[in-house]
Amino acid sequence: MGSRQREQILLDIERSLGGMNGEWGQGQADGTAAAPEWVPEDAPWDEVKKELEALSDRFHVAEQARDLHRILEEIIQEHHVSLAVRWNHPLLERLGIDRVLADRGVEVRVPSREEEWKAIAAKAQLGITAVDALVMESGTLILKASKEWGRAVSLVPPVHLAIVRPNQRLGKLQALPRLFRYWAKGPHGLPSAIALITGHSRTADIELILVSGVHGPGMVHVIGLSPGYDSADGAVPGTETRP
Amino acid sequence: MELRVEEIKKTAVEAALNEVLHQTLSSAGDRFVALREAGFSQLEDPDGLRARGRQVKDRCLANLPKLLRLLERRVTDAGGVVHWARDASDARALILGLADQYGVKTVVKGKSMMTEEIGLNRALAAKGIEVWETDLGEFIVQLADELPSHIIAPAIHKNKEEVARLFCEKLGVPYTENPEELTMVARRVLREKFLGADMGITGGNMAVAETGTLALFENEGNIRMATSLPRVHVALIGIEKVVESWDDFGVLLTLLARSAAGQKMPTYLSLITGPKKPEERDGPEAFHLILLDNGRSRVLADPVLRDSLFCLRCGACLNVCPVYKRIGGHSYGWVYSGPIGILLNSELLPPGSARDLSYACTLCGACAEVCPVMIDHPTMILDLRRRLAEDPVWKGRLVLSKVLPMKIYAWISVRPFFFRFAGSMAMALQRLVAPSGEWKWLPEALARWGARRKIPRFKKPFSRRWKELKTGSRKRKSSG
Repeated sequence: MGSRQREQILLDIERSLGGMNGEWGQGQADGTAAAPEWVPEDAPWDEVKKELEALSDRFHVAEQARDLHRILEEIIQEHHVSLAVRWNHPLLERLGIDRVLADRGVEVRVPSREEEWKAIAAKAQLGITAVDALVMESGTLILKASKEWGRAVSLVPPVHLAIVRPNQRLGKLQALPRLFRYWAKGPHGLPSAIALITGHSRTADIELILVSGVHGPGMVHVIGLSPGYDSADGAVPGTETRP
Repeated sequence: MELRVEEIKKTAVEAALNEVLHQTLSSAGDRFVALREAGFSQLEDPDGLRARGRQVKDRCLANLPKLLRLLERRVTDAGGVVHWARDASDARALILGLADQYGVKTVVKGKSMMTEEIGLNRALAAKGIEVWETDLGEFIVQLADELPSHIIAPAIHKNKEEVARLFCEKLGVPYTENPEELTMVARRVLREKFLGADMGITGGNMAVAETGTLALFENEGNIRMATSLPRVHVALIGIEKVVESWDDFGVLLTLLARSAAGQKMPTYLSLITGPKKPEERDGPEAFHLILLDNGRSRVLADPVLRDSLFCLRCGACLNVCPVYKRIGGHSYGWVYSGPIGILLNSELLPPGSARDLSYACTLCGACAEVCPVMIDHPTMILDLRRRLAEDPVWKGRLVLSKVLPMKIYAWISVRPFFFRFAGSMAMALQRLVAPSGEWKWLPEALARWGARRKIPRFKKPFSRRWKELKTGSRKRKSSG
């Protein structure tokens, strides 16, 4: 049935179009795999902060390890976090997040099997990710599905914490087509899922009254690392290659 | 599906008299309009962008066979499976077959007008499969066994008291009118379903042929859940949703997000390219994309109505439509409502079954002014009426109800004697059937129309009244 349907639909469309000749290829303004233009590392974070705060989410800048620890402590207290789930990401390892959280009585889990991801993410109060890119203009976080980075972490717990390096920023949404094409033409192609997240889960389906956290997190915290971030244990994030 | 015209008229009359609904739709419409205006005001050249959006859709439709073949190839390369469905029954059979193949017992759905279009929920339920709508608005209308009444706000016609009663009755939860508490009830109920579902079914806002990527817009997170947590993801899209490249996607992304709710970006934009890769941590093991025609290839051949396939389903035309705001979404009788609903319902339903809908329009043109891809709804609706006037069945009705009365009026109005005579007759008749303006009697066929209308009093011709005024004033002077 499938192949016959396919041929019939294509035939119907071709008949309907008649002699209409499309300008094939006009939609691809930039067919190359050129890298997008990243915002300079020393550019301020003000625009992201403004955008996220307008959505009632939070943005923090960490210039050094001390700042990061303080911010994490505030998040733990504000959201009564006792269980956190995080990506198995090198940046999160190097920032020593587990130790900071454990010192404050929070259990941190990095599941190894798929079923565990779902189950633990459903119990955790905090999901921690390291983003692949961020758009300054809208405060949009871009997260790729990956070998060690479960989709559920940024979605299932009631609070999402995302960490961004200063060299991962795009200025405008117009840069997105180039970014996706750049990733698509890279060695691994596009992952099965890319999530673009702009603020927290919300709905206004009952009398247009805005309610947060209908399905996904009700709050998003973003921590931007300064170019000069100097962690106490000597690791210097931000030196990895671009995503 | 056949629309029951009498039922639609009844629904429309009831809706038009429902002041609560009218106020709800008006204030919601005003709010969406304000959000859209704020969103567009941030753009340097909004009309230029709208024109580009229109060009993108126009070019992609002109290249549809090539783009669909490319999309199929890329989705297959990414490990997905592409299916083709000519009509609603094919699409239902495909999805039921997939449910059977994967031993599906529970389905979670993301908001999708396409699945409403094919009547999927009933078909799944008839096979004993548990189906859960997961968008809050869709969840509400599913519990109420209704159709959505707005493209992006499906339960806009329901107030919080109605939702409270519905949740209390169907979910057995304590009565509360607090929207936050009601939302959290839905979160709790649906969270369990997400974690236990075998299959997630969604629509799709766009499909990028260049990489075989499906794009889904939302604010709640339910679509991310439905595309991430179950082991199978099935997406059903119309064939017109394909765009050529990421550049095309970029143009339409800006237009859609701002037109729908004035946002720079939706809260969640999911870009799905095939199922979970073997090395990836989580996500569905299988991804099936169903491309549905269901009359669209026929519309493509229509030089006037073809542009309706440009529609991005942002809902902006509904929010400004004076008729929609008066009669609500259910009065359009099928899945789509508002100005775009008149077009899509007329095109996609069996010929003639939605013919009355073209008269649910004042031709004010507000819809065309806000459409992100510059669809000229009024011109197309006018063309639907023209076609109707040429329809042999309708021609007879129109001759009696419109053409003949207008011809009689035209004949009388240029003959002063007959015009005065008709005026005198009308005054005499009014004294008999509506002396105070309210109808004392009307034929059965006009009774419902007359029940809500007062007839203005016919007056004597101005020349006669002027003479009477002058005579009266002379009499007053002479008596003074």
